[in-house]
Amino acid sequence: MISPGHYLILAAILFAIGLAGALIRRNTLVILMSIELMLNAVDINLATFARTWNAVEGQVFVLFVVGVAAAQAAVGAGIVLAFFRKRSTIAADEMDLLKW
Amino acid sequence: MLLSSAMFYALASVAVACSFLTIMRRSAAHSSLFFCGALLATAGIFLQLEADFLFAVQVLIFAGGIAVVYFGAGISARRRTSRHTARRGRNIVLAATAAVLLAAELCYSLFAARSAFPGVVSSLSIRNAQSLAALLFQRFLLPFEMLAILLVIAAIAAVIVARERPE
Repeated sequence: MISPGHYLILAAILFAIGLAGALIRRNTLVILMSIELMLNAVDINLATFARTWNAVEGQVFVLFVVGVAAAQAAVGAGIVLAFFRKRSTIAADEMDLLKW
Repeated sequence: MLLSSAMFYALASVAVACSFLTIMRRSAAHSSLFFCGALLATAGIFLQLEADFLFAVQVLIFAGGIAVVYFGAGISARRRTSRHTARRGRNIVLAATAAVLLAAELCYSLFAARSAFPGVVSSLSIRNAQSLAALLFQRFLLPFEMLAILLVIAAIAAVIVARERPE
């Protein structure tokens, strides 16, 4: 039988992969996806805690996290597309429009 | 028992492999497809955790909505040059070290706190969607409404940011 620890370790591994992606990649879309992967790992944790302690509150928080992730995806993809239209690149180190 | 263990390990390996390929593929469109795979594997894990409603939410919103947004953005904003991949060498070592250290630390703290978790949870007494709705529309009504407002603001902001301005 699978214990809660298995799910938590899986979530830790997924979170670490997301962190690595956010640090390694220069493609802004992939960085955004890595952040979503980290949020997804947190969702697994919350669902595991909800299951372990019979508390539905954990699932409610997963819904909130999914909502925030959706908002982030919409605004993030919009910003990336607007930037691509201006500079025709989406590399993170080219994003210096607010620097002077 | 054995079947659920096998299902867990299968879903977990799919999730880890898809997440890894998400961050390693060069093309953002390919990345987003593997991202979708990782999200679907996570949906399966939610089903194993007896979170049926979250399974539906994960498939519909995360895999069906968010991953499609990234796929669309990935195929429309194709990278022009590949010169920024050349300067990846030093960062990849640092970032991989940071990620491995974080994973090791999290696993270690889980191992140290393992007595705090009950070993196996037998059966769930909560009714899933029903008790979720009761909580969502009573105790968490204000945060729920604020989330709705946030999503409307995000949708409007996305339209405003991404629209084409006449120069």
